[in-house]
Amino acid sequence: MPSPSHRYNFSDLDIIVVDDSEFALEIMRIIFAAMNIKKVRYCSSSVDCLAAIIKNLPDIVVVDLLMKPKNGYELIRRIRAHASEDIRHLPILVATAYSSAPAIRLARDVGASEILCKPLSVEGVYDRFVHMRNHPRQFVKIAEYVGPDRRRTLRGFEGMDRRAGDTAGELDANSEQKHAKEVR
Amino acid sequence: MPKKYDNTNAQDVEVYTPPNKLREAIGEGDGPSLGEMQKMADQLFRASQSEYRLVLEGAIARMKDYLVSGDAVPELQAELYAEAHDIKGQASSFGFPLVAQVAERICFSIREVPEKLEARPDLLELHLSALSWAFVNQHNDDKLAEKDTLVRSLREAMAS
Repeated sequence: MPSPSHRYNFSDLDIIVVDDSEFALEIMRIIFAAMNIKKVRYCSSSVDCLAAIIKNLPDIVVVDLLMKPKNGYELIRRIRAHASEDIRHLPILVATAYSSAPAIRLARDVGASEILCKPLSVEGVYDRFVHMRNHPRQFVKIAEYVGPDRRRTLRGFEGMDRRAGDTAGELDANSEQKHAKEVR
Repeated sequence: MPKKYDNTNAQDVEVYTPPNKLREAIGEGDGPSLGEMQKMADQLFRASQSEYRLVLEGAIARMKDYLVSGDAVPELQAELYAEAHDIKGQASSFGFPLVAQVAERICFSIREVPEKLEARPDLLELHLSALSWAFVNQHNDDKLAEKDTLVRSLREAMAS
């Protein structure tokens, strides 16, 4: 958590938020107003969100995961696979009430930059925004993925190394596939 | 300059750091403090509480309707889950933390033990009653003891 005495000015931040719940958007309206953020575009679907991003590139995108007809995972995949480098590199903050381990893991694996669990608060949003500002993620580009390095951990990496041709990561594939099926 | 890692066993991996545009967009050293932002948010949430109360009332009424709709169990559970999921993520922001906790229990039970809820429809009714009760009594200081034990009693009922 950044020091409470340290001040940040969010008034120039340009944000796109997507959530298909009207009241989730209302919560974000309140939080962003309290943070003096003025340039916010609100979208109620993944399709509208991607169109808004393409029309005018924001500084950051805030994405809900469980949306219909296209969920947030699909939106993040599309952003990370976009032809435009600027769009591919967008910081993406996932804001979700679906905080089970498979859901979070899947969000990470499709390319979320940071994850914030609902209920949202000024403190939580402030903390993630400042963290994303001060600690930008390294990106990884491989044949099937472009996005933030998914191996971020302060504890170091103790598993087997898939980048060196290992398959340890497949151990978890079943639970993640099950979750992916649920959200489709 | 991107680094290229290449060895015979590994995939070809490029690791790089994109330009940090957030550093330009979020200024440092001025702007309101976090405490000032929190105070402002509290005021705005309080001002919206009565509007959210109506939203919550509508959601709970819909959930009760689903329960008596005769829908097949998977559809019924999906409908209840969707409503409870929204409540779980929103209610505490507008001053209904107990309602959010009960909604969380509904999500948890539907997600983790759907077969048990299918076999014991009374348990779903119990959860919805608890949700209604929490909504009505959230701000009733005469019910502090009951509020304290509400979520625990739902857990115990599910374990029974």
